[in-house]
Amino acid sequence: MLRIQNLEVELGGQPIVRGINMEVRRGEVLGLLGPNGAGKSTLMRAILQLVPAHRGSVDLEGVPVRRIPGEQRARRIAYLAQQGPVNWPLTVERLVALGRFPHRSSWQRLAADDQEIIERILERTDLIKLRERVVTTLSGGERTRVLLARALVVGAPLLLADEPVAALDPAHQLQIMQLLRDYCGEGHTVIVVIHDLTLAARFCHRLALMHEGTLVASGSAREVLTPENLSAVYNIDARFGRGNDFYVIPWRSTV
Amino acid sequence: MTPGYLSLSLGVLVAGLMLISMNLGASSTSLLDLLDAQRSDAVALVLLEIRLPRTLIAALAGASFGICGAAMQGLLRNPLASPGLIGSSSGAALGAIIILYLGFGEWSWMLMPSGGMLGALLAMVLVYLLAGRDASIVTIVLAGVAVNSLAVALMSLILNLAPSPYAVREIVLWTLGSVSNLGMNDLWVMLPATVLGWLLFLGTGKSLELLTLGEDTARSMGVNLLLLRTRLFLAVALSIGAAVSVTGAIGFIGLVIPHLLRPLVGYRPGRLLGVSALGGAAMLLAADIVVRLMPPGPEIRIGVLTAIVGAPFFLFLILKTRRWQLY
Amino acid sequence: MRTRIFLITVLLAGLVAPVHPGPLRVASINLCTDQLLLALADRAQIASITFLAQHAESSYMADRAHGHHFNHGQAEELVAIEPDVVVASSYLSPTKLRFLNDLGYRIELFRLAASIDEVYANIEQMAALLGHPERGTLLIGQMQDHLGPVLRNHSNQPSPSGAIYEPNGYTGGLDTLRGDILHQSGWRNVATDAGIRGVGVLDLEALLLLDPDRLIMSPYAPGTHSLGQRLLQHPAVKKITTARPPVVIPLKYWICGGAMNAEAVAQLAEARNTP
Repeated sequence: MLRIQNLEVELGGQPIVRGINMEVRRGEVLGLLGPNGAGKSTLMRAILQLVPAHRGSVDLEGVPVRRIPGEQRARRIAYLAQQGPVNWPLTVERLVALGRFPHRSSWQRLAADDQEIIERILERTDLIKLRERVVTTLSGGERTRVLLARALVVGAPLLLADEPVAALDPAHQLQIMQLLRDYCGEGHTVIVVIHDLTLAARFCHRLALMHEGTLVASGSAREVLTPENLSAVYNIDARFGRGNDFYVIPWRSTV
Repeated sequence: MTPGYLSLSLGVLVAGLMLISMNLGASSTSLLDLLDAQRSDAVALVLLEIRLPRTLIAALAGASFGICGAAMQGLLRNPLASPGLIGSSSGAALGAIIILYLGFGEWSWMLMPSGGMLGALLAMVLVYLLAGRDASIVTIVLAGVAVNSLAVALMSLILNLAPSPYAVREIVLWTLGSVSNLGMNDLWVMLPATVLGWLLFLGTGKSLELLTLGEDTARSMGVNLLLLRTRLFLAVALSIGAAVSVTGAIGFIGLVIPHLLRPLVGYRPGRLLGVSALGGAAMLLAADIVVRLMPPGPEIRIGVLTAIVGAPFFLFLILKTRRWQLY
Repeated sequence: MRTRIFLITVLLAGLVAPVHPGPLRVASINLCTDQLLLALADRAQIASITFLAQHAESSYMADRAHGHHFNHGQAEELVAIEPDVVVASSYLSPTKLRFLNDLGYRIELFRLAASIDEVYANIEQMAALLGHPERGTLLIGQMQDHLGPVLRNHSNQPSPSGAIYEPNGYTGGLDTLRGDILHQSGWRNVATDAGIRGVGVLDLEALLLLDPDRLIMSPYAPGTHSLGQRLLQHPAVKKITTARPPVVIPLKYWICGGAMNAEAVAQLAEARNTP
């Protein structure tokens, strides 16, 4: 569905993404892992055409993303930014409704089917009770839910989420990851940048591990989160879960 | 309050203020005098050549100040932004002054508003360049202060050096504004650029709403930031340039009106544009009415009134913003 | 024409009449005292005049103003030329007055003439100061001779109404020289009707409603531009002057008090007759 070929991205003269080759299949949640500065966010922003690629290409269903006009791209790729700001004290409902804007021109108001989608997502993200609240007065977890709801409401086939659960408590982390997983259930695709190794293992279909701008490993959780990889990339030793449940707990730093 | 209802109420307010404005002036002529069969020709002259242009220009200029304030606040995502702050007003005044006092205005009626527009545009670009990308509102304010100071200094210099002996005293008219002694010719001169500017504002509402989510997210949702910025800068330059070249720089309307109306439109930047135009027109008309109600004597500059209302408001806004942590 | 003849007479009289031992060297720091000085003094008595005296637009005596020391009204400039007397208008700022006093200069103040009678008084004052009182008497006599017929001519005719209109709407009302000149030449000053005393502003609306028969203008710095000057091109002003063009009186004839005021009266009297 999404094919990245030989992608290179430079920021401020420094190469950040050095030759990434990757494929993301429809209907899967791909977890993008790697230490800080590995280039995960930059890769995501390059897919969205927010930063120009130095070399290489990104194709969405066979068509280079670069060539897709902005309006159309907005309908096909949704973005949940890392620590996205909310610049005005809008109500939850109003903010979530912004997600339908790519489907409407400047002059059209939101139609009944837009409202339906908004209702459905508000329910799924458990925001019905909060719909009249002002977003800037919500807690961190609630806010992330609202911003995610905004991204879900777009109904785009591809959703890119950049560290959506970084600042949340465990309950909310699980909630958000489940929502992403459910979104895939409807035939959509999700790429999520994430630091929590266990959450990544549990909720993502496949993982991709980046290190210093290159792809070091990709595949299932067990294939990617090996002690060798973790040591080489994260400089940590980890403990692993036994049995059917796969969980990884960073245990000790080896730096 | 539904947006339609708000627009309607403001529209009625503006119409009412315009009627009052037509009935006020140095003489006691009123609109009812038009009905008097025995009226002198002078009455019609007073109403149509003095009061009408003054009223219409006040409404149009006020609307421009209002809508530009709303647009700039939406673009910069900060309630402290206003046309005066980002240098467009003083830039426009400087441009108009260069054209008028150095005699270029004789060549064509288009030159004065064009001078205003060019001056406004250059000032805004300069502020933008000084502040840099991703500048905080503090940086933008500082850049604006620098550009404003430079513009006012240049204005004073040119007025001092201008051939006309009357020029020197007129700095006040340009920095505090005035809508008195304007004629219909001033209205026609102002109109094309104003309309053009307003047309450019149309359709930017959606992009401004999406900027609520930040630049990256807005861009991912199809907002072309460069195009939006260019379009808004041009729109502000055109409408402020046209207005200021006729009325001088009148401050605080672009700051106060969008801020007052924002809660009434649910904090939606797109909706704010239209109602701010109406609110701005109302505010300037009201200020001009108060100017004419003042006791006879040298006329109080209209900018003084807007400042008396606006400056304390600005201070209050700063205090409130600190609590909101918006910068 | 008559005016020019009698003025030339005055100038010649000044040159030919016996020179009294007037040791006084006089410096003038005001345009109107410049005019009096230039009209009544021997060349050697003029220590300094203002730079404005050279501007033909506003200075009637511009032709005679060449070759003198020019000042800009600043006390420091006078130190170099050491005048015996400094003449200025009574509106001289108290600060300057005190400064000049401290420097030890004798100062003679001249009232800003608010009528032709006060012009006569100023002429006498200046002539006496210069030690040429007979020149003053001569000048006043000539002016009165000139004005007499004018006053007699119009006493039977109805007075047209006029409004002195200047940039920013300034006008001369009651108790101004120009107002008096207007009155003497047989015009009715609408500014007086509007209750304006001294120099005041005639609001545009008031101007329209007072409906003067003619506007009276004295362009200053033509060809320059400012908002104040633009007011004179307001569509409303244009409308009331299309059928009745303004009467133009060169500024130099009546901005200051002096013999030239008679010319202003004559021109205004003549303008009454042209519809």
